[in-house]
Amino acid sequence: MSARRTKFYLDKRNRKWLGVCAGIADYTGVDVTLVRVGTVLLTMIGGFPWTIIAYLMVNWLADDKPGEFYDSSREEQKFWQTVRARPGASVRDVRAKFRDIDRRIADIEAHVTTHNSSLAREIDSLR
Amino acid sequence: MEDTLVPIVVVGILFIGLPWLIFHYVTQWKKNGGLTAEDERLLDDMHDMARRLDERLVTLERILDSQDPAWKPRTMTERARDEDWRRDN
Repeated sequence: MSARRTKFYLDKRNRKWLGVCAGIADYTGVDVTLVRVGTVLLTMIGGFPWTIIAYLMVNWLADDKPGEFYDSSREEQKFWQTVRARPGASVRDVRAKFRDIDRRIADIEAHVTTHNSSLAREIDSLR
Repeated sequence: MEDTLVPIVVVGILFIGLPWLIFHYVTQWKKNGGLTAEDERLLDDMHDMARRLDERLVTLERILDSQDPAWKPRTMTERARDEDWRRDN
């Protein structure tokens, strides 16, 4: 079983305490500081033992983030965050990318095969 | 009258309404997040391939730009015409 991209992991490398908040931030794309401040606020306005129990439960249940995911680029991380939130939208996104590529290849093809290409002009000038 | 009604309503909300709400969202979330490991690998491949093709195209376009700076505007108008054609048909 290979590592899953859509699974929740603890982010042990960017952790402050056990890496749960960093993991949530990495999973959802919410800023990590915001997640931590939110957790602390929630604890202070009355969630006192429960947030800490939930934190420890998550720490116990979730796995650590596999090493190969740490060196994924910023763009890749953003892509997988949208996949987790809306898989359908990200599939359409990839299709749009391929359409764009198709159009640009068509442009290049049209340019290369057209009579006005620089090669044809140079051949003309040699005559 | 009210003494018997309030506990019934509260118990109804707690033991029927709340689990129903939670399961409603759980099923909705499962429906949306239905990406199997296979799908995930495919999507990863496609995304990676799109990125690599895009990089190659950027290189090609740069080469064409340097060879023949006049190529881009013409293809732009052609592309617009092409899209008009696609829309009309």
